[in-house]
Amino acid sequence: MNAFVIAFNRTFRIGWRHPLDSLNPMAFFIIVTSLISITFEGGSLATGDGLAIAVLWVVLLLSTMMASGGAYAQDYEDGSLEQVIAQNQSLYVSVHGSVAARWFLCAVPIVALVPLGAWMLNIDTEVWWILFITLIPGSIVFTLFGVLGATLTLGVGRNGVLLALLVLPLYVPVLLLGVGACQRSANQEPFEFALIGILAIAMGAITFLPFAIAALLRVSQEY
Amino acid sequence: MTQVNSSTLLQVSGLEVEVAERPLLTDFNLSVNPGALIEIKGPNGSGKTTLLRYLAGIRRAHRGSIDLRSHSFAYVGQKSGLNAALTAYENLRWLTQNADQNTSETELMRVLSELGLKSCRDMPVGSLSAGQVRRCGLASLLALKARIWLLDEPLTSLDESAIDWLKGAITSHRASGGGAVVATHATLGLPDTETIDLNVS
Repeated sequence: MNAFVIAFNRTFRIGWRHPLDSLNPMAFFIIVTSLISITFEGGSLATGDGLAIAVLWVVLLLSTMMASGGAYAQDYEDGSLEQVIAQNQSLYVSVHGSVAARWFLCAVPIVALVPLGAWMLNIDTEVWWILFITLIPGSIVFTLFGVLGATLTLGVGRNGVLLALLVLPLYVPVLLLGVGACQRSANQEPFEFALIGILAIAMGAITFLPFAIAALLRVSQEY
Repeated sequence: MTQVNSSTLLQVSGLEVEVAERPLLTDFNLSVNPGALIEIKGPNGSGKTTLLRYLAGIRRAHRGSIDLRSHSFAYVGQKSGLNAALTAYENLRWLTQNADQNTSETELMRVLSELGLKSCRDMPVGSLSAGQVRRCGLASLLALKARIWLLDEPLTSLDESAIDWLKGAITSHRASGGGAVVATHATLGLPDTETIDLNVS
């Protein structure tokens, strides 16, 4: 069987048995957006769709980062990672499968909550479609960078702050382009450049980041 | 000089085993022929586990070569390789898929019942006892049908019946032309065992 399918099935099955790993970031997303909408006392955000869009993106970024922080930690601890490396499966393809499963489990549910968040933050419904178009590739990139950061800190143990410091700068270009595209669309300005930029980053990340993740997984076994 | 034989399963020559950039063993040679059982002995910290991790390809050799001659192998390390949330059956099936083998469900069930784990089939590995987890890891030896077995301290937390089972399994594996490399403190006490003492070499 294909290494992608094997890794996808396994990661998805394990994630399904740990529903809190998906539910916690979803709860975080709802709590933060609802608290912000309460503190802005309805309506006052409506004048500035730009601010609400930026808030929504940042909350989504933080929730996906929270969700992907534990990637591969369990596989490293229980020795299944060394079995994958020992049996010489294509680690690049296997990483793809594992990250795809993780995206379905942790990022897709949060993206599905975006209409709720957008409604609470009073974002104009005309902007919702562009929010979706940008948040889908955006969440893929966030998940990939999150897994990259998690594999970087594999030997270090649980280290959330270190993870944030390492990967947050990588998130910034996607964040700026995504928020930019949505804000420009809300102001009826041309936004195609930002949209193409975010799609290009997503394509590049899907192609090249699994190489880096696979290399880091190998290095994690070297000591 | 190690004897080079065309039927050799595993050939290691001039391997340097290093831990934290410090060489632990230099110019290590080993050949595993069909039917051979090699026990690697040595005090704690002498590099038994690290050596096995090199043989399994988990660590890459910088100096020297390890030639598996494209034989399949099974590695049972100190970490079980089993996920606590998956059942014994699911873990075993994943281990065979991971080694690119299509083992049928009836075959996997036969292996599980041979190790007395039939009733644990649908229990998550996290709820099994340490010895049962160990048995489940060793079950992969039968499920994988590999020519070479690499075992790291296989006797840890096994009860007497499981130890007897393991000895029997190794004996029949050798009889069918397989080879085994075992890192262990306590000898298995099987006939025709080749012993490598890492402290001496």
